[in-house]
Amino acid sequence: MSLSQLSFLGFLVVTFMAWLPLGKTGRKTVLLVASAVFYGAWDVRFLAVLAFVWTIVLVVPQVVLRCGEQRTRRLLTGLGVALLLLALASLKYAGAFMAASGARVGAGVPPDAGILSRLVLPVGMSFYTFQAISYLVDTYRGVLAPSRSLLDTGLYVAFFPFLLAGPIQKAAAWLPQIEAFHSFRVVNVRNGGERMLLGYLLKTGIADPIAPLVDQVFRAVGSTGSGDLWAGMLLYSLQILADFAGYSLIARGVASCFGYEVQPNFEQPYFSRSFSEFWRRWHISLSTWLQQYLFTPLFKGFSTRLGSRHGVATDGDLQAAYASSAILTMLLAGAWHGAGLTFIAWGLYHGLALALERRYYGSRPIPKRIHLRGFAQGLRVLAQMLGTFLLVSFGWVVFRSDSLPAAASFFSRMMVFSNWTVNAAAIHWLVGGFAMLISVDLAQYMRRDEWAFRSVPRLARPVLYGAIAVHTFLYAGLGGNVAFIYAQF
Amino acid sequence: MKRERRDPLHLATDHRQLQLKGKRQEMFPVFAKRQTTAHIGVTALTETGARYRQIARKLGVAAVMTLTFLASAELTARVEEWLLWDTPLSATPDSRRDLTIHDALGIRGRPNGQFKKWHLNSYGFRNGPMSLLPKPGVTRIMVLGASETFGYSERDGKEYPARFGARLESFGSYEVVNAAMTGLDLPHIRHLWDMWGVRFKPAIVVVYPTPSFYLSDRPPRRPERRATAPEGPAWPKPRLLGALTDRFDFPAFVQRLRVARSVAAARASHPPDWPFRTVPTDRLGQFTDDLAGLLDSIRAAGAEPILITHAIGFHNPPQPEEADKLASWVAISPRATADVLLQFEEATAEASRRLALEQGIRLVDLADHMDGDPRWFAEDYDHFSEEGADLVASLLADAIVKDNLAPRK
Repeated sequence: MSLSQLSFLGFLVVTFMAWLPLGKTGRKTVLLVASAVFYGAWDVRFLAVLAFVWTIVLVVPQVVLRCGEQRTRRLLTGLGVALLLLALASLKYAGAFMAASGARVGAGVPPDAGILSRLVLPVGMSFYTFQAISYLVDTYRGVLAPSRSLLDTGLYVAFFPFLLAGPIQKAAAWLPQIEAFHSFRVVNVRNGGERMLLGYLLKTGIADPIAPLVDQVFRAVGSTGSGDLWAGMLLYSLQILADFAGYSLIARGVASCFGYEVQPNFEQPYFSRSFSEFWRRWHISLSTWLQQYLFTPLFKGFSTRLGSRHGVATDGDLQAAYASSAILTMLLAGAWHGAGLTFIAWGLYHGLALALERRYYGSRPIPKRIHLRGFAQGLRVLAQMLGTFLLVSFGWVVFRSDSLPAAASFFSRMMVFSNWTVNAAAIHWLVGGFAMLISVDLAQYMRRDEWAFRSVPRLARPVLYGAIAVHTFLYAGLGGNVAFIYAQF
Repeated sequence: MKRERRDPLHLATDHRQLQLKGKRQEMFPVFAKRQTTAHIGVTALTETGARYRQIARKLGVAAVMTLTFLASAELTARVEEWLLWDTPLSATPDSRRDLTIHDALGIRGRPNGQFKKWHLNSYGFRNGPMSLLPKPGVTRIMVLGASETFGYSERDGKEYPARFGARLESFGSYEVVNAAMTGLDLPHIRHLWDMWGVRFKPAIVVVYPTPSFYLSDRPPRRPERRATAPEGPAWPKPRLLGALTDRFDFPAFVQRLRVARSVAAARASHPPDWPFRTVPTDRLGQFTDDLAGLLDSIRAAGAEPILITHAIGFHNPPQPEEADKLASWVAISPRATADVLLQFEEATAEASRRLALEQGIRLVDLADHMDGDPRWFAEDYDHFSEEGADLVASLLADAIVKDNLAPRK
């Protein structure tokens, strides 16, 4: 069951009706059972993996709490994190390992894969595993007290709107919400409904109709002209944002209906003027997780180690530390998406870009709010945005391609500058899709919040809702059910 | 305090008003009491009235917003259909009215007809522009049939006649004309061919007949040759309703109930022996005679016929997972049971094979290739999926090219 299917809406209504009349414990139980049903509908075996992660989250912090010695506490927390990463890595990378071991054995001699061949990566495991790691580390650091409640820890790991593709919640912000009682409020349902409608517009109204056009381009790069390749690249940039941002909005909207509020996962990422700004606007839950649990410890470690040579870290040491940390973090971010070399290359590309930006533009972060002082500055800002968007889109080509040679072929044919005709449907969606996305992003940017629809006067909003509902649910989805891109990670 | 006890709702907040009337109250205590009571009553009424007005205002706003929502939804539906299918904004699309005309020539495609994804050319055929007579050196192939051939499930250019034409391009100069129309049984196809199709001088005619028309309440009959009065303008209909019914299906359990009720209602209005419980031999005989007549008429016009046996996605006997689809099929032909539907398909396929053998007609045995394999069929197991249309096109192309089928002089 996916969030974009009609059956999910029926499931949501039934869950909400069951949740409504109950008290605190009853409501949490309903949500936990609903989460088990939701996840089990994909594959009942996935519940075993979820149960394993839940057990780690429940047991390890309690054992750590009872340990007096700091070294033992660190060891046990490390063991818990290692177990989670081992489970994730073994399920995620088993296929790549099999392919690699097959190549070593030799052609025509299949490796005895045995149990490896039967492993299946549970959908969304990358997301809730990181969430569990956040809990283990935060409880170890004393940021929050570990919970002894089965319901609370279960719901922390397995809250159904976030199971498939996040957003990844930080323990310090998420656990207190889980523990609290959430009363029914009409405003929560209204806010949730608005988020869901915007999410469905992005996912079903923009991303899904674009998907076949993008697939067509990437499947037949060798026979596609430059014009269609450029269009395919831009369409994929649009598709991946609309798909993932749409999913996040639907997930947050569903959570809102039950009274849970989580931070936005996207903030107009294609308005970014640099890679560092891009990573403050794109997949915010993952980027902040990486920054908090990976980049910052790495940076501190590298800068201390490098600085110890001179007694105090010089600017050069800090830049080297930053570059190393950024590249390593982004390499791991790429690997998080999958075992393919394309993901690693994509991560390396972003890591290098971040390192180069720091080297040449300094460490002061570009503010998210733009204060224009004149036409010339406006042009400069626009050029920065377009330049960053183009460079990020090049990275998406690598991300989307089946292999590095395929990505190289894509780029080389793009630069041939011949056959500039573009498919009419691609032009239609490039213009229409970007127009819709930019309208939503601009409205949010001007309002400084996520309520794009509230830019429209209240009495005129039914016009907007009617148009969006019809486009999204009746016409744009005519191509059939398209899976969420990020659910595969 | 006393006043407050008499005034629990604190309605008499207009203390000043009471004070101004103080003198009158002093002079006429009874009147004063009545005045105060009346004042409290009027104020209560005013408060209640205000509450009702507030509720009415909210209801009015809700009604206006709902109407605005619906109007916007309707306008969006029209704009979407204009963008997707070039349907004019003010049009009232109707599949029958927009795609067919019924005149002295029979039921045929409406010249330049258009409905949603279906576009017809200037002669009412679902293919590209063409001339009345084939160009010199071009072998024209006409395909006759019902909705399976018309391409009910497929987009323009994806139905099997179009794919067939695309496959033949590399083998020579061929032109495929899709003369099929939804709902045509063999007598109507024969009438269409005799009155209209023959004018286009095809060298080869492919026939894909639908047997299940012969299991309806009345057997198919050749249409009367008469001109019909032109239809009046269509009543405007909301597009939104059509879009909703196109997009959403009833849940399976509801659909099962609907189908069961529909079949029961149809059978209840007829005598108990009305449903066919075995293959009706008279209908089978009529199918064979009508088919033979059509093939003779094609040959008499100088064209070479190719006959295709009708294929379905069901197994015989049916598998459990096919029950719902089979029940839906019975709902369309309630006079036959599910078993009779399946047996009749087999019987007509066998009759087609025999006829082809006796008359020396080229046969493409689609039933043999495709029966029971859901890959080739759309949801209803009758119309083709895109893969199925591709397979049919491939088999037909083989029949033409590999067997070197030359047109008769």
